[in-house]
Amino acid sequence: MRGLGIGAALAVAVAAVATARADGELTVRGAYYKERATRVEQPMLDGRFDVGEAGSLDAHLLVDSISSASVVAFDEKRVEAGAGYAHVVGDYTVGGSARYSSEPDYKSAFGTLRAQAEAFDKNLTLGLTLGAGHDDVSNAGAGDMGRITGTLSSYLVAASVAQLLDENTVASLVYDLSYLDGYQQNPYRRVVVAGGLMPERHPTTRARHAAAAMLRRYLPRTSTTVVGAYRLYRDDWGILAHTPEARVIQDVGDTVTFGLSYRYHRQRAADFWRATYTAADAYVSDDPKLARLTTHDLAAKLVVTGATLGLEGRWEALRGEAMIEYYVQSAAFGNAIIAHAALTIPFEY
Amino acid sequence: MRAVSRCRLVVVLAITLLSGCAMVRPHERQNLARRSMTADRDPGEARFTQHKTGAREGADGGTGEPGGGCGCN
Repeated sequence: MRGLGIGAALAVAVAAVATARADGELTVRGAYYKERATRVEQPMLDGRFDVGEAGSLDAHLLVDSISSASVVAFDEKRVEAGAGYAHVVGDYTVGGSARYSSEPDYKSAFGTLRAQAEAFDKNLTLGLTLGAGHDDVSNAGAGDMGRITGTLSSYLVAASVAQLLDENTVASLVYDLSYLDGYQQNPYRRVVVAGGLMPERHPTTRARHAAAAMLRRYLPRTSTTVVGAYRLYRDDWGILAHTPEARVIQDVGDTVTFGLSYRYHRQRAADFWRATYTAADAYVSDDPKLARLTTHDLAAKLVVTGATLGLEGRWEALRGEAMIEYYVQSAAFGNAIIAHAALTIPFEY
Repeated sequence: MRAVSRCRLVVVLAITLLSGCAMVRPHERQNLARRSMTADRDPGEARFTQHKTGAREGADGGTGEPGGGCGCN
């Protein structure tokens, strides 16, 4: 009797799927990052699936393979999985997401709830995201050093607004406030303090504010999209950062797109950052990210669709992508080369 | 008092700017629906880029997405 019930339910479910076709796409991507002492290889899989008439499910899985030949040489893998769901109800979209990441010395879980509202005939979109996470940190890869463990709680509130300015222009503004509470130093790093070596010591709380504005405009005469963005960042560790970015995306015919982008980042050092520390300093750090620094990021990207290769039907929408990026850093990490290759396969089910 | 005045000014400016926007009708949105105008970066590319800058710069955020999540500190 129970078997019959399950069979009937399955038959109804199969019939529902068979009659209501849905779209989805699967992206396979490989990313490569190489700088003087660190190399990262990251294969990843991203999927998006329509769920019924109003739902959308996305999921990702990635592996970070990190090799470093810096002061503490290591070779490790990080695995991350995440999924999100969004449901449209009239002019509102509600949803949430979850992400879990695991590596030998760091576990992290983060969840978000999202809401979005559209107004004025979908000319204005307002969004709100709330998130919270928990991380477990250790120096598990340090061999015979004394064991260090710590936890970190993180919270996120993000508000966004996007407005159509005309039939070719959209402007958007995002404000993020994140608050971190817990272990925030690197458990392996040592700092020279008054001639001796001390473990790194950072404040246990950090409030981070970031506001980003973006303007996108499509130029129909040349089939060009130009994107201008600027982010202002400030936190209570004293870091103030300006990050402008420009992108140009050029359609070449109907099936090929070529993009160029440039991003500049400049930041002030954290208040407690010093070139040399004394025993009287409450916080000591050897983290290059907390110093005054600038970065330049130049990237070129080529996207071709299946139609370029003469594919027909739903394979026309197949998308292949190649990207090369050069990242110039004033910090001791040295400059980096980044490369991506991706293939997106659309499907129906 | 000064903060309240400043806040009022921002609200008035925002309303003025938004009311100055032309209403874009659904049939006028073909260019706005182009991939380059909605999401010229795949989730995977955006995630990797945020991860990279989060691991190499002291600033993070401005995307509406959580950063961190790894020991690349």
